[in-house]
Order: sequence, then structure tokens, then C-alpha cells
Amino acid sequence: MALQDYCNFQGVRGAVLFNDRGHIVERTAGFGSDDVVSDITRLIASVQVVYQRGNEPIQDLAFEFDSQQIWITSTPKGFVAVITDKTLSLAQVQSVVIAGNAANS
Amino acid sequence: MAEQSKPILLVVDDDTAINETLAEHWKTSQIPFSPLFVETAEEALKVMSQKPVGVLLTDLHLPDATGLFIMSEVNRRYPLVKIIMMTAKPTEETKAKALALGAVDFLAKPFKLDQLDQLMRGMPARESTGFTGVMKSICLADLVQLKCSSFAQVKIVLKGGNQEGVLFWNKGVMTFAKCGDVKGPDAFYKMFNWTRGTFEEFPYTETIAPNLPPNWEGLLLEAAQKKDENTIPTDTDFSDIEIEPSSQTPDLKEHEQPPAEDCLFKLADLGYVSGSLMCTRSGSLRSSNIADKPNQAAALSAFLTQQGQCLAQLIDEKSVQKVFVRTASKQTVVYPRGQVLVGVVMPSDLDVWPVDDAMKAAIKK
Repeated sequence: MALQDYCNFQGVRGAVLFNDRGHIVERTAGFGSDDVVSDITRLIASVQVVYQRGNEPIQDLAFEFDSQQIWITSTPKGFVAVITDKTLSLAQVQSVVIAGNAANS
Repeated sequence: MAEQSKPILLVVDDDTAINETLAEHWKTSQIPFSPLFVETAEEALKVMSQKPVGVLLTDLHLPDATGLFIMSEVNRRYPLVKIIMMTAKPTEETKAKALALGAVDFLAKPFKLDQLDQLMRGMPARESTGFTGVMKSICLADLVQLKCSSFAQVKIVLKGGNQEGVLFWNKGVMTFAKCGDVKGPDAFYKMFNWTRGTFEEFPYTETIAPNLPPNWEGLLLEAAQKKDENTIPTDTDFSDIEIEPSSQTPDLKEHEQPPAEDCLFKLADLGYVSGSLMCTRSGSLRSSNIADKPNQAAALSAFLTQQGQCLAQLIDEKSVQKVFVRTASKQTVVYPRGQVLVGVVMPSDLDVWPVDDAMKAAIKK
């Protein structure tokens, strides 16, 4: 599934693919402010830190903010971060990511 | 052994009669430690942050915390410190918990002073613990993480080619960097770019003014990005993307409220929760209800505090309402509540979201 296809799910604002260095490889349009991109970049870096320090690899990491939610998951292509608004629950975001990952595998 | 060169034995007991008796006794009876006396857990942790304590002798019931709490906190912060628990109301359950948390002995009051002396004389010296060896092919990022995770108080001299630099850690916080004439973050970035070299660790004795920001993870990431920018093409420029401000009204009330003091008990009553704990955003474990599984509690505490530190540093603290982490063996939901993080652990096969509201209600004050 192309990155853009994540955005076909209702409530999904955008998706970003990062490489393992935390650099943006691909980003969908309508993603939100550059501040959000900056936050996500730092979150990806945070995931890497936790990956290195944790006792076992993290499969999924999700953050709920005041107005949006971010789900970061490790895929064969890199880290995919999906940003949604609060009309979706984190559970629904999870199902979007699962669907996306299934299509990618 | 000269008194000042002995490792410290820190006695924590609010019973002043006990403290006075022990102090008087150790004036004439020789033990390989220099005793210090405090009455609360807070005082004990303060002393331990300032002095090299070798052995902690703590009462089970302190005015501001339980001995089990101070044990888990000391285990996390100072894993080399030997701990002896004492109590006037010993039970098999408490003894089992204390020993499971790593106490080297459990004393029932009243105890014979000779018995305590014997225990102290048999205690291996703090300096004799730990591994020594040679690490090869590690990068500076590995070294920084290792030292920051271990509450190290060391100076490390790095050599790369004909260049030399130095890094200081004060209790796990990387405080100072210098490389040639360059100081501070720029010195660190410079050393981070070295592809090979050697390092040597020395005891930290100098008093030196910090020149690095306290957020070592941010510094590390900045250094990694700078290194990448020097070696890989620049990312696509997204500056022309239209900015879409959020139309949602923030609701910050819930996660600004501190959690209920008894929320861990309420969470335990939910049945599907396999463990929970509270820690501060700055990384201190406040309480845990997984004391019967000390390894799990210690690992989770360390993990959550790393999470807490990461979050506090990365994002505006008040905007994060929930963090969800999934690994192969468990799921963890972290609820920021004021300055406290409440971590709830559940089995990996549980569907978390239907029980999310019940967990939030349990945490609510």
C-alpha cells in the first residue's frame, strides 16, 4: 500500500515514512503544520532511543495529543507515522495501521 | 582503615534510640564502614545523591515511605549498594518481599549488636563489585547511553587520531565536553564525528561548571543528525506545504490533574491489569504494585522513566494525554497526570481500548 493510501481512511490527516535515521523519506500532502512534522521527527528519534535502551523491541508506539493522535510503527520500509484527528479512537488508528501494514507485507 | 576512606553505612530509622545506640556502639566496635544516620527516606536519598554509600540499613516503616519503596528506589538508582532491612514487626511475607527485592539480609528487632557487626564485617566492599573488561567497536552514542543509564560519575578521555577530548558525567548526567579549544555541544559534535578512536575512564574528582544541556538524548540526536547531514543528501524541502492549523479545542483538564493516591490499588482491582506504577516525569519511582516481581518492576520502572524523560524533553508536557507502547510480551499504557506518569501493564493479548475508560476512572482523583 502506498503511503497516500493510509489517508483514504476517514479521520487520517496524513502519513509520513521515515528512514532509520529519522529523516523523512516520503510525506503525504495535507499533513499539518511543520511544527507537527518537527514533533514527529523528534518522536521517531525518541523511538530509536527507546529501541536501543529497552529490554525488548517496541512494535508500536502511540501518542494521544490534545487534538490529534499519532501512531508510529516499524515496517520493512522504515517507520510509518500516521496522524489522525480525534474523531478516531486510538483503537481505530490501530486498525488503520494494521490494515496498512497488512497491505505492505 | 582511615575513617574517611571507608565506604559509608547509611542507617535509616526514625527511632532515635536505635540510631543513638548504634552510633555509640560503633564508636568502640570496629566495622569496615563509616556510619551515617538519617530518619526519613527523603533524607536517605539526598545523602545517597551526595555521598558514596556502600551499605543501606533501613527500617521497614519510615515516616515518609516504606522500606520496600526505598529499596526499589535504591536498586534502580544505585544498584551496587547492599541493603539490609530491619523491622520490629517481621512477617514471613515482608521478609520474602525484601529478599526478593534484593536485600542481603533481614533483621528482626531487637537484634544483637554483635550479630549486626558480624554481618557488616562479612559484607563485601562496594569497590569489589562490578565487572571489568575491554569493550571494542562501540560508538560514542553507545558509550554515552551506557554512562547516562548507570548514574556514572566519571571522566572519559577520548582520543581520535591526533585529537583528544574529554567528557564528564555527574551522577549519570553528561555535564561537560571539551575537544581541543572547543567546548560545550560543539565539542561533543566534533567528537561524535570521529569514526574511530580509544577511550579511557577516570574517577571524577574535579569541580567543573557544566557546559552541556541536561537533555543528553537531545544532544545525542542533534549530533547524529549533524553527522548524517555531513554524509547523506539533504531531505526533500517541504517548506511549501500549506499549514493547516488545528480546529479542535484542546481539553487539558484531565491530564493536568494529579492521580488519586490509591489509584494503583484501584487498578489492581480491575483484574486484567498485571502491574502498575507511578513515577515522576523527572524519573523517580513513586510507588509500584508489582513488588512481588522485582525484576519486572525494576525493568518497567526504568522503561517508564526513560519514556517520561523522553516525553518531557520532546513535547510540550501538557499536550500529551496518553502513550501506548506494545512489545511482544506486554502492552503498557502511560497516562500523564500532572507531574506524574501512571503506567499500566497488561498482557499482550488483551484488547486495551474497551478497558481504557475504566483505567482512566481508576486513576482519577
